[in-house]
Amino acid sequence: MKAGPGLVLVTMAFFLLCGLHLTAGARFSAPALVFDALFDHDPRNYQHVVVIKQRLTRLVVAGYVGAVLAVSGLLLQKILRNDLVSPSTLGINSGAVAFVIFGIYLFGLNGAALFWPALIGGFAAVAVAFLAAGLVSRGRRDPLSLILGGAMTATLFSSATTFVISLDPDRFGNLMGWLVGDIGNFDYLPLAWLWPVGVTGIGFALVLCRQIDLLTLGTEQAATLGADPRLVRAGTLALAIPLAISAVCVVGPIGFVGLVAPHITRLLIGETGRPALGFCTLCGAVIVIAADIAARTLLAPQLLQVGTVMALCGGIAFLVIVVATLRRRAA
Amino acid sequence: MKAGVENAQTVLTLEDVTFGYGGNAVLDTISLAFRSGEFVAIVGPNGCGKSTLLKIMAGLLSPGHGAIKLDDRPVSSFSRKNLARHMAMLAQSNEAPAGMVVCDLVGMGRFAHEGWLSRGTARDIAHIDAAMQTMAVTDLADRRVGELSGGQLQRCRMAMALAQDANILLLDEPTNHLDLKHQYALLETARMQAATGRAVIAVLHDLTHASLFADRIILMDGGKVLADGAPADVLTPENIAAVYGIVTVAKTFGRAIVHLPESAVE
Amino acid sequence: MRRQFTLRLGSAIHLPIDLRPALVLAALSILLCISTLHALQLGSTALSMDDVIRWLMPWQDADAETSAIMLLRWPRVTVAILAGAMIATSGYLLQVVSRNGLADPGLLGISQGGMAAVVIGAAVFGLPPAWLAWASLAGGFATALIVMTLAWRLSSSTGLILVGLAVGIVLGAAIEIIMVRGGILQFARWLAWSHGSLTSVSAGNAGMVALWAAVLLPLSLIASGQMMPLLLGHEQAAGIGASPRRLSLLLTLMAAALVAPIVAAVGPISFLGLIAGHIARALVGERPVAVMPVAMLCGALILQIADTVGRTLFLPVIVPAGILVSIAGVLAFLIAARLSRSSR
Repeated sequence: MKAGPGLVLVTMAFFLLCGLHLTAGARFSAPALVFDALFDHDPRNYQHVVVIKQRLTRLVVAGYVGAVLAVSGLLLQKILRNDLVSPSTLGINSGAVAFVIFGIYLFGLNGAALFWPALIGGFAAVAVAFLAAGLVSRGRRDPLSLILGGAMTATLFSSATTFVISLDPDRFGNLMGWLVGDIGNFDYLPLAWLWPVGVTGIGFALVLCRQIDLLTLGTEQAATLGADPRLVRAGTLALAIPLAISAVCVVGPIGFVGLVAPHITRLLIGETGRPALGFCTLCGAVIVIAADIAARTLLAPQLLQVGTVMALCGGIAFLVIVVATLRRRAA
Repeated sequence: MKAGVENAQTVLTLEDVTFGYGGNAVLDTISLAFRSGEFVAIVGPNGCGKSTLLKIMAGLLSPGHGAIKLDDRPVSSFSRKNLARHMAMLAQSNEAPAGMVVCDLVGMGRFAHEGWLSRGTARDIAHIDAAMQTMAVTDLADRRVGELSGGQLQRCRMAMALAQDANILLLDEPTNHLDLKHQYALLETARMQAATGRAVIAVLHDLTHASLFADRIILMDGGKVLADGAPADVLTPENIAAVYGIVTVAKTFGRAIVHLPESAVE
Repeated sequence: MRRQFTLRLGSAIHLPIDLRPALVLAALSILLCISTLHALQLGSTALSMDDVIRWLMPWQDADAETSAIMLLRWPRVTVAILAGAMIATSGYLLQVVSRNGLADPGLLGISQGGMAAVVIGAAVFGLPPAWLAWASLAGGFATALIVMTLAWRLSSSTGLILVGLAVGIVLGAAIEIIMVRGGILQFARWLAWSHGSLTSVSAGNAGMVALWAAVLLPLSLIASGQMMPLLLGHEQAAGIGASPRRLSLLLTLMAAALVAPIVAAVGPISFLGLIAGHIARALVGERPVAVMPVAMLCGALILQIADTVGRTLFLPVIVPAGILVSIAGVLAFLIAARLSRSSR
């Protein structure tokens, strides 16, 4: 598929799912009602309030989270030249969660202040994952070793999280949804001041896109083509990690959007250039919005957590990607 | 030997370049000069430092001692982008993401000529098209890298290096992955590039290829330059015996010099 | 040439015994005895060593207080030793099968398979605790078979691990869906179990684990004699006359059976198999006959010490052994690997 039609297609899917998201729920709302609620809002009409306060806020959160995680995953996959990498498989999510829990337990932080421990946790997780991968691979450059390093990192940090929670479970009672990754009704509050992270991150990613593309040809070739590999790699990591962290801060560790969205992008329109980045952004948003619709309606009136729905679907997708990658390599 | 080369301008010089990992020296006080318009082949046994030498010339590694000068300016003083406008390199690793489209891949060669806000100018497109035609990959323009054979990919990467339109072309074992026809085609292209006034420096494995296409051959061994000159002066049985440790008989076919093991030729 | 001596008895018995593994085994056994005594002695109420030894001697009457404390303490210590040995064995078996030193029941999805079966069995079908080990066995077997089938034609040795990792992630998500159903207290308890905790081990658990261990550990030791060809890779192994596919399937199933009772009783202990296998190979080299028993003892020793430290050092806080192994163990392992590599 060419980039143009691809972008049109994903944009259409995006708006279609937005509409579906606003109408679907525990109770179906007629499109006319949704339209009224959006453009002719009546604060006394309960159904209008439901559409705006419960669905629109969730929709925005889901779209934001999907977009930033997808871009973060694409950037990581490109600069590390590794199709299996994503914020969750590198352990970034687990690292951020662990540090947020430490922040709450040790310093009683809350709200906006939690972004900083989460950011430190994200960088720490990447450092540990690289270290572990370096030891695991013993100098050979094997894309699989980075994933093993990431898995070790994730276990390491989630153990630490578990321990801190077990010290005082009651204190984290209202965090359970966040711990497994869920879009709550009040998640738009942290988003209200976190969105600049995502917007600047994606903006810079668009600007740096060409340099990042060069890096996919290998460090040496990129250098002789005129990019500074170390600078580009460091800069891209400095973009990708805060992007993922800003999503973790809002909804908790939602995995695999960052893995699956870049793969869909690559499959449909290739991975080079700014159109691919735009496609990936929208694709991520579409995936999380769809997952949120599924979480709200599959077992309605019971709510599932978006994080667990994503983990289940994403895990299966990861399995398929792994088997396909390995088969291709064996062939 | 082309007469013009002797008078041509020196574009790249190495002065007493020494390089080593840890204690052991990979390159030992190497001094060389490369002129525009010549096709230089660097040959030698595995591990003699020829790829390292090429990487040092490209500024990918910085020498422990000595200087590399491009037009009388140290290579280290160039920014990567500026350097890429003067010098293109085809790296040895055959690496490119499977999802990338060939015309995008070749287009990467123009990166050094792009500004933040100017891309895809008529000049860029002209260079990309010319490079793809030269390497006979125009038909592959819309294919994805993952669908290509190793040889096709190698030709596309060569097209990328040509699109870079740099005065110096460094090739690290460019005939890897290629079949017989395309090996010769690629070397012929390299020679044509030299004929248009570029300096082409290639690391080659095959001595026959080197003698057939290169104007000048640098024979390396143990991090030192053992011989440097016209193919016939360098590829002598004595030099081959000294470097590779086998006794050979040299046969010539026109320009080509073929070395056969003495024991096999009776 | 290896230093060895030969055990000769008449014409029937002729066993060469390597000196180094024998010495390592002896040293580890002594260490394990010492640490066991300390594990029995230490705790929220520390006993005197005399009391512990008197309690251990069947012909001497211990005082009532010691017996009461010991009744709580011995199952835990027993389970720690056996669980450590079994997980290490399982990990080493998988390392041989996948020809990758990083294999571990937790990384190959087998632990998660057992966990999923236990969680579903306990939370959804309300199985009694006695059945959980069998549920765990079924889950572990099923996962092992799925992973083996998916990775069957993949030649790369990391392939098996990656497929296992992916299967483990899917199962982990399924487990999580069930775990979040019961509120935060229940969630925290599940969470602690899902990282391995010896806190609620009973005498019944100890008996059950001991029974499984009595069957499986000797079997593994016997199997270790047949494992050498597998280290060469499937094709080469077949070339020297082994039947690698059947053998690796059998060994994988055995590895799953080894962790099943542990997952049911204490939850999975991540990375213990990996760490024990690495230490064992660093100590005695690559011969499976030598590595297997050493790995067992290493695993037992590590889990035993981790549990004792976790429940005594940070009092009144009790750190679950599994968490201590994952955090301290993995960090120590990474640092050790780093040091050993830079010194080389």
